[in-house]
Amino acid sequence: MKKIIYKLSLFFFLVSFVIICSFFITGMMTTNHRLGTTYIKQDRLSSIKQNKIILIGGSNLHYGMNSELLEKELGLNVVNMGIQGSIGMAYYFNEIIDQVKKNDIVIFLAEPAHFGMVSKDGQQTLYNLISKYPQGVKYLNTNQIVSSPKKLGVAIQENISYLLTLFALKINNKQTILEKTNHWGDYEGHKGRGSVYQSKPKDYSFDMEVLKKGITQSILDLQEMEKIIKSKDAHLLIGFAPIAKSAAYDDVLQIIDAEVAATFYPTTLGSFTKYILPDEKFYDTHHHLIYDMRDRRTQMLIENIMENETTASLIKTVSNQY
Amino acid sequence: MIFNSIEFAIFLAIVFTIYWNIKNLTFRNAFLLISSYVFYGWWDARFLLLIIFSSFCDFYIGKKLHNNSSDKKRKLYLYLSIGINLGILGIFKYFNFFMESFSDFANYFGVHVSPFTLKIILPVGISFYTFQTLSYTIDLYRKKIPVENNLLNFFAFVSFFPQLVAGPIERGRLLLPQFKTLKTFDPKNIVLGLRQILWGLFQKVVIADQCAPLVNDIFNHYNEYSSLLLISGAFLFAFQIYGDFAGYSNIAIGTARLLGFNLMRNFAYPYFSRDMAEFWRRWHISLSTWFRDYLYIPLGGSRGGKLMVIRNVFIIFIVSGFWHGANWTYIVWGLLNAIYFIPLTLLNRNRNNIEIVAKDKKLPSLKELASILSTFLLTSFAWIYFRSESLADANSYIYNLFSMNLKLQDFSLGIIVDTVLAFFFIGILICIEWIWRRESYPFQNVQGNTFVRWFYYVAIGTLILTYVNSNQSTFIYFQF
Repeated sequence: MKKIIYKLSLFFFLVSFVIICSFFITGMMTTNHRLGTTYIKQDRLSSIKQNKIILIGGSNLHYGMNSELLEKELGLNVVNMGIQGSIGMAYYFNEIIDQVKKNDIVIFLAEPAHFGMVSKDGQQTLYNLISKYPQGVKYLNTNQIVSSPKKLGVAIQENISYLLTLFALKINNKQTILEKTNHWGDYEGHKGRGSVYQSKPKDYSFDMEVLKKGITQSILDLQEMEKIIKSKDAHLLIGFAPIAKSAAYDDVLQIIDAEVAATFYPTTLGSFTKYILPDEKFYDTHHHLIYDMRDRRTQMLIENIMENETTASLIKTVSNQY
Repeated sequence: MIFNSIEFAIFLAIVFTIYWNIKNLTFRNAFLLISSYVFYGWWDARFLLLIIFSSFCDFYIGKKLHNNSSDKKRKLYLYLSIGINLGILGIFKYFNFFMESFSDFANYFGVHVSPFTLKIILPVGISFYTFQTLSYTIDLYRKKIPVENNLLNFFAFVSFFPQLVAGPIERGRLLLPQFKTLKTFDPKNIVLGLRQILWGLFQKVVIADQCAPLVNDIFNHYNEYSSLLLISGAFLFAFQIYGDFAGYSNIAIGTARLLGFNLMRNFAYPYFSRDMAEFWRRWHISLSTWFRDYLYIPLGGSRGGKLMVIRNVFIIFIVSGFWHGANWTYIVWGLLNAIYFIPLTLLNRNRNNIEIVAKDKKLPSLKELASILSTFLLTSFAWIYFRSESLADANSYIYNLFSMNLKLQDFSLGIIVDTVLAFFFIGILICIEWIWRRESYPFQNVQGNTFVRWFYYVAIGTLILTYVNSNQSTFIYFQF
């Protein structure tokens, strides 16, 4: 019996070792995946020594922001940290918090899913990101670490699939997302391309009670993060992702808008309902704007900041110091 | 609780530890019975009522059968057992099908009949354990086995958890005596069991579960896809169902071996068969032999005239199809297999290929390879009916498949990548099974080089743990 237990333990040890190695090796082989753009973003974040605006959030930000324009208009350095919504709020904040300095402005461009549907600890994508960016382990909380063994395998699978995809891209001489991301962290690969977004019928129904609980919890999480940012004498503003009309559940968005405004006013920049845009303005999914809409969306954000007395004066103060 | 879940791993570890620490046979069997009921009740505790009822009936009918010397009464008890078992199956599995078919039939002739259907769920594995208990009473009637007087042993036999929900369908004469001896812990047997479980998990998790989403996508959108993708879909399903069911059987046999029990072999590399007769000797062996022993031979088997043989072959294949499910698709699948099988029987060529292909060679001859491929093509074609939701779907699928529509626009990068990966894993499966085709399962009697052995364990283990979380799905055969 002892021999069998010994052999089984050895077996599980070796398999775990190979899985962990495969996790990181396949991750390192696929850093030109969209999640690999975290290197560009982290480089920029750590290279800015002056006061800055740090944009955090999901892929709406990666695809739909002109950081250069924002920088020019507001007179502050900008870094676009947005990668993917399903990574979860906790990681967005943890990965920047060491680089947040006094008077920095953090703008969280939320997606509706961040309120109740994607937990703050994120989903599978987070582990795929870690496989490509092993340094990210230090930004994981206990919950995320505990749930990781179940997720390593899926990350390896996704990486293997991506390797094959990469092979196909290379055969066709196509560039990867990493190669098409500028040094601010904005994606530019959709330049000159029209919309391929396919509208979907709204066939999803929500359990409003469950949803309201989720919204409340997300707001509590956000308040927690706001506290941490404030403790560094920095500022947190809440903005919103653009949403394709066909994917916008108005009743749900109105609830979130009301709750967020009630909790975070005056540091709320607009509302979800104001960011509902026609489907043809979206590139491939309901949060990814086409390239030509990036400037308009950036302008909308600037307007939201400037029409609000508190945020406008905050920008003025911080940029004067800069 | 399915075999490829963490719950089952924990359950098995607990059962294994306690089981081998019980030194008394009665307590051991009682513990096995309780464990089996926990395993079965995990799906739905109400299922237990049915299996307890079925066990009670067959236990008492068996005793009456044995104690009665009158042929007439013995026959009566046999019919009673058959009636109860098939009655349970009929109500839970076939009642709605017959009512709906009757209604459709009547509507076809202009008589409007609303079908009366029962809102009941199909208990998992019902076809398996009812056939197992049926074999017990039939064998008892034929005086081939002694009666089981120990209620505990009999209940443990009917509900033995490794093979309860999807076989192998054991015979009383092989499994019941194993409950009467106190087994001793044999590390070699444990290693063999673990190796078989490892291979079974590979078949299920890496082959079947990776093919499943692709197969679902292709069969659900057959109208939108090209012939090339539909052909891939049929091949992928052939491997999905093989990986699923052979995987289950290997895990079941390996699990039983961990507890010191030997179960019958259920799959013997069926896709290396050179003709359909060989295929049916290698696929779901416990069911094929069940039909042979309890239906085909009593009907006359291959004795009698050619018409009689044709009739008997049709009967067993149609019944076999119907056993799989209450749907016309299964019946057509059975019919197709009967059509494949009959020429071999009539020409007395159904026992041409008894030994595994290329037994003394490394590779098959060209003729053998052609036979293997043609058998696989025939099988895959029949599987289209097995997989489709309805006859109309199956026919349309086949029509589109032969339309030679080779457009490539449906090949999204995602589908190509997933299909290439699935076929890559199927390639691994074929290579390993080919190398080990002379053994019951790969690496069964691996000797010598420790490095090679451990390389295999770790490679297969890594693949299983990498893929186990992605598309975890239940076993196809649970629904039968």
